[in-house]
Amino acid sequence: MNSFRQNKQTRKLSIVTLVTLAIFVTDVASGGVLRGFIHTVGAGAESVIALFMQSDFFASRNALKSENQSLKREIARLNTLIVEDSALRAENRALRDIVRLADRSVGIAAPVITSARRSPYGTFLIGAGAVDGVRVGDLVLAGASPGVVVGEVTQIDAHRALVQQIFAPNISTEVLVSGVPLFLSGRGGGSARADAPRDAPISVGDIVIAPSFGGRPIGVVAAVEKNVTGASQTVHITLPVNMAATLFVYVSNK
Amino acid sequence: MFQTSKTLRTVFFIVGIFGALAGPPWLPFATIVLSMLRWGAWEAVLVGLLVDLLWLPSLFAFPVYTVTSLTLLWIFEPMRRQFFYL
Repeated sequence: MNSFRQNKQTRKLSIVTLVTLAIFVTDVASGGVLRGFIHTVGAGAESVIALFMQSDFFASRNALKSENQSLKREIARLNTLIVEDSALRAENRALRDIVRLADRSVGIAAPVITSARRSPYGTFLIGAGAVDGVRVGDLVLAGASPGVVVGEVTQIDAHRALVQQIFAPNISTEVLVSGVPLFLSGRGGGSARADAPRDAPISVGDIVIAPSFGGRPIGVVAAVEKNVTGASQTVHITLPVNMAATLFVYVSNK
Repeated sequence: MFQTSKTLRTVFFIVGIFGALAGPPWLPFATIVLSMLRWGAWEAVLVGLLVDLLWLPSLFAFPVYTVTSLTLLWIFEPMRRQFFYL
């Protein structure tokens, strides 16, 4: 390939690079106007695909999928009830301590309009925005009252908001498990991990509470791996709500 | 041959857009990598930009897909010159 064509190709690549960076910088400088428009397109695409998937072509598959999701919702509902009961008992025991659960705050219900699995950054869109009173930093809860914190609003448009999941990859959150303060690191897919002192009294089923979220529960301990040679134990935490089957969430002020 | 190449490139772009909007995260990534290996496709950079603008949690979060697509665009250029450009 002669040098003229090489230079032409290099010039083309440079233009592509500069235009892409310009688009991104323009979006950031404008406060997210372009991505607000793209969120609208994304929500619309989800609706179109949902209509297509409900067509007769996918009828038998849809029936199985519907039953599967129904069963998953039932399991998630029962798990949430267990978490709620355990959370209320933990609150009763901890009445003399400083931490209190600030539940039943003012908020609104919002539909989940994109699947949490679509995003590589652990984010999803909900169908409520600035017009509905949603603000950046609002907590997003799922499950029966008082609910489990599943995410935090990070961007808002007029009628939609982007929520980042608590357990999104590489997101760290300070939590309390059986009174032991830990730093939880999200691993995506509704799971997280934390390292605890070896003698910490943590067991499977313990409720994970986040003081920064008003002391609300954010998960349950799914497994504990004790390191026989080290001074720590690895605590695996899971979200007791199946986000794939969650249709509505509750947006509450922090 | 040229028509097949053009068609394939278009298919990768459409699949990438679909993956960004409604598919799993690996789908747009796969189309970006394949497009960059063969063509240095500028539209694959758009797919990466779409993923980031759609799903990035905040204005100042690092745009992984955009940066990756631009990096692949440049990194594979010597290979494309060697094997695909006449």
